Amino acid sequence: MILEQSIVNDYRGELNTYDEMVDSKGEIRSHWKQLFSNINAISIKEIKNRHTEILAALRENGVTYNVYGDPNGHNRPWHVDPIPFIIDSSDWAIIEKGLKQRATVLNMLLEDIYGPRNIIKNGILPLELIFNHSGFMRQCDRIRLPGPNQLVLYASDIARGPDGRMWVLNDRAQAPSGSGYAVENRSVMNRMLPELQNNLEIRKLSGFYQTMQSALVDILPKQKDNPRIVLLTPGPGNETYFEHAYLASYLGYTLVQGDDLIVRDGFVWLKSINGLEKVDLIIRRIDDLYCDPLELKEDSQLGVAGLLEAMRRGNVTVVNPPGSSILENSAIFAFLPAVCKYFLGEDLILPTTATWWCGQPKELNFVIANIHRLLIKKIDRQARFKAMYGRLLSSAQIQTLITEIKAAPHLYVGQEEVSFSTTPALINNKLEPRFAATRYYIHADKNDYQVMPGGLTRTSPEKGVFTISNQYGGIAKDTWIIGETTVFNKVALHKPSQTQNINFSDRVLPSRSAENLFWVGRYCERILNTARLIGIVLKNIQENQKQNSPSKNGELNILLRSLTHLTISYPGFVGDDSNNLLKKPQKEIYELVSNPHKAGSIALNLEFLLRAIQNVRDRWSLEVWRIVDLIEESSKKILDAENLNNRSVLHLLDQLSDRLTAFCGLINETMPRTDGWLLLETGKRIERTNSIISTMRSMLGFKSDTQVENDLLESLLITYHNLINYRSLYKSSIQIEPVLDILIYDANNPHSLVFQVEMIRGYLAQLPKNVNSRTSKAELLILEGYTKILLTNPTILAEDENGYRQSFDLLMANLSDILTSLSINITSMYFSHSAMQQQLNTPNTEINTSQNEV
Amino acid sequence: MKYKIIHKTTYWYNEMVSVCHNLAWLIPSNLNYQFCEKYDIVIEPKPQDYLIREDFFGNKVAYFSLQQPHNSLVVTSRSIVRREIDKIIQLPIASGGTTAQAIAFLAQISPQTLEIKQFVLESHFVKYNKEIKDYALKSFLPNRPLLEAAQELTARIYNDFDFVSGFTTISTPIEVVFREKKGVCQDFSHFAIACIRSIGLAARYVSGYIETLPPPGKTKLIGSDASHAWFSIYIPDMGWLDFDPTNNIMPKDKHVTVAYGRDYADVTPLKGVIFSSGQHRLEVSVDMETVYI
Repeated sequence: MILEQSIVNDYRGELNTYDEMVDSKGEIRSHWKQLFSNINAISIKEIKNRHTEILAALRENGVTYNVYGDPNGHNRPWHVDPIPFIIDSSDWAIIEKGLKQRATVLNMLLEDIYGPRNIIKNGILPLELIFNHSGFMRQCDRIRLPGPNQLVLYASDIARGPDGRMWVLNDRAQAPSGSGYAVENRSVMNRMLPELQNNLEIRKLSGFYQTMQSALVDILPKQKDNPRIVLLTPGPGNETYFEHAYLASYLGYTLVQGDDLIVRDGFVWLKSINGLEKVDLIIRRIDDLYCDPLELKEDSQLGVAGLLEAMRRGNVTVVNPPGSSILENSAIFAFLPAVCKYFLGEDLILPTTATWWCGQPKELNFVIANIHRLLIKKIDRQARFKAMYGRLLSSAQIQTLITEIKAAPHLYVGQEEVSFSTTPALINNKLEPRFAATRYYIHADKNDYQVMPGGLTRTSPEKGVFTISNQYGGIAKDTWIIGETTVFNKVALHKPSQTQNINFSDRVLPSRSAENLFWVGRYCERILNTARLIGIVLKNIQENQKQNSPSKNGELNILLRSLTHLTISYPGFVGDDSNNLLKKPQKEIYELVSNPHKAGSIALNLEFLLRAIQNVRDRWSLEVWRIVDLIEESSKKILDAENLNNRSVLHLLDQLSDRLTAFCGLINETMPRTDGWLLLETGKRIERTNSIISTMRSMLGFKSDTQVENDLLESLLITYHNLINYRSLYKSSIQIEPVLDILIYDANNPHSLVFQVEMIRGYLAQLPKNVNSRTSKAELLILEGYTKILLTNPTILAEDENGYRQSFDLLMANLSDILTSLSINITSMYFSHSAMQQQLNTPNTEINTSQNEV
Repeated sequence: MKYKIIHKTTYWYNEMVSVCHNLAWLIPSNLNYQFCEKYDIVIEPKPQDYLIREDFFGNKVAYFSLQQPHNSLVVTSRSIVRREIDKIIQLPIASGGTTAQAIAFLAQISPQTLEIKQFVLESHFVKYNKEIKDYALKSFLPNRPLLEAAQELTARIYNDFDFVSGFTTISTPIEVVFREKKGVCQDFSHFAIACIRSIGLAARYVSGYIETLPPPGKTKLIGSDASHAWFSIYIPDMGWLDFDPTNNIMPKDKHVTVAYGRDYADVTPLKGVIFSSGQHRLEVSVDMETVYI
């Protein structure tokens, strides 16, 4: 109890505005009491420990946020504060009602702007405020979604002011982000700090997604049993890509990028490995302007050409419809009370930050006269203009700003600076007050809106700073709505979900995902093979240093050349000037490990592997993702390693190989045997075949001295994990024929050529093929390879003429060509190698060849 | 006057194009002095999808899509258009309201002014600055009849600017055109529109054709006519009146209107997105032939 008191006293001492936990008399507010006693029961020290675990879990789960323009900002781990933000049921009732009203008004406004525009004709909203805004897209005029609502998904940032009232700071209307993080925050808190919830009734978040799923089914272009719903992401470079993948998996929708989709015959289709699949509904996370390069931003590579035309014909539903960013217009704030009156005849329940639009003379004068205490914004979010606090500007800067405003007043607003309430956050082992704002999520549901009972609360990273944004390093909090649940929401939570059917619908494999999975298999195997050969080379060098025999040198040179062949890093050890390199091979070897700019290096292949994994991150289970985190760590170590020596390289490679092997193993244990898995395995097998062929050919194509050849054969057996197998089978010294038998013909050896070929045959037989043919071209190719192997035998292959093993070399060359054709064939059959999207040059028609006097 | 117009655009592709989507503003408008009696757009190879709709401004726009591999695309727009010049408003230059009156008119809020006011705002290709406004103010004196001011602006651009083809591209900013005082008809039109909008008046971009006459003693070559552009200014009580700064005239029977918008971006004659890995080149010809009844 004494401890409790001291925590409160410390905390109280820091307060200077409305605080969420402590009231003006210094007492803990009633709705915080239970949480506070739970905190005490657990102890701050233990919460601190758990916090470390929470952050580690978030990182392992790959919960990230990309920060633009920061070299270290890519995949920045998500930060969560362990102390939740609490809203009690009476505040919640106001927020919920207020947000429903606001969504309703904004929806009516959106519908009117792209319809009759009565709001302008009747003088409620000035024309300039809409027609000058980049979010007003004339191309979207009169395009309507089915169903009563145009604004389907909506989010709103709300904070409490010093007077204790809730204020709306921002509206997000085109592709609101963050709800996935809110769900992940809750899930990690549930797992890692469950005691914090003792004796508290906290509203659950999942019901929101259930109602959203069935609401989306209501607005399909045509009702059908197995609608195809996709989530359109700009890709792994986007700041909230994690969330796109997370929500797609969570909701059972297919995660796609713009080039996965194509418009034909006025419908939108998904390019999958089964061919084209019709898409019924698109949840888009790309901005309005990028949705359709035909009609909107012409050089957009993120959208789908012809999308607006498909929408116009009612063949696809896109939420939110392009053009919704007109609502992300800070000048609308100034008029919203009047707009609400106009549409609903009501006052706004939730007040909006006081805003003056400079497009009117009186307001312009006011903003200029009061610029020192206002926040100046452009009406447009896209404009590259950061909001400016007048009080932070020098008088010269103010003069410049005033000149800019006067030049185009209708593009600016002045806003009252809002001061936020504070809420406790765990900082350096104690609770400190921090400013907080919460984003709430809303979806349309028939004639109503549903509000997620929770949200994404973010606090300022530093004391006394108002800026709250993930881009500037804000910290998130779980958001608890506590107290009695209303009857309505209980119903919603238990409502039988119509979406059950959708979740079971066949999830097709988009061609782009298929291609990435194929390459995950290939890169992974490629790195493993390279790492093993480098390991053998380095051990060989170490032994050489001990005994320095000429035969050892001969062997080493062959191994080094073999490494160049395997990694295709010519000229390397096979070039004309390779003599010096062969004498001092270390540098080249280390480059092959850690130089990300060197073709064939492990570092570069790791980069490709991780990129391919990211591109299909909706396909990985949490367990797999944890290993990916470790692989990333290994990759960083390899990149950052300084003063490499043989020992450190061997250590790095061992660790990396273990992790990659664990990755492959987990995939095999957890991934469903669908087309995606088949392609990943095919990629792996093709790569392994390539590797076996390449190393065998470079080591055995020409016969070496007996001693050298013996060592090479042993190296080969080690590279492909077969030394023990060999010894148990042959119990003799190592000879070429049995080695060829094991590495080429042994169908029980998972590293033999025959084994690879049989596996690939099996996978190809299961993958979809053209309707017309029973056997695909790829299958014929692999059959050809198989037959070529079977038509010969180890004895023939071991024969040489003047040291050259012609039959062997020819077989390897043939197989290598077949594999190349196979890979090309798989690529053209399953992966959309759609040519690049380009703009047609528009004729510079306006060339009037002569000036006529008419 | 009646014309038969053939506007042919040909694209040759180095690599096969698998899919293309296109929009074309190539069908002449109907106005109270212009009648598009017949039109069609012939596309080779034949598109799998083709339709004509109205755009935001009321122009006819054709959407088409080719979904079979092809290595060339020919779009031929053919039309028969009648211009009745006696229906074009022809008034004494000094008549009509003044600049100040027009600005006052546009300050009103009504469904009618809404339609007009959207052409007062800046747009993609039409941005203005103080220098451009100063240039405009020399013609648009508050108490001068607007018609006279517009006429004078047209004449000044004609005299101050040189027609130089190839100097500008469609993305050359207006300030550059103004600084260098050269360009082609779309540049002059964008510049004139910027002048008019800078003082708070409404102007729109007109895309169309003009009949060219062969040099004396020579016969006219087929395909030598041109796509053309000019501007239109809104004058209260008179409506939209056209001016051609490239030729310093008010269009009458040699011009044919295809579409109007805020600027070129709204009414690009032909644009599209293709899926191909190669490059392409294109050729355009316009032929405008008088039809005698």
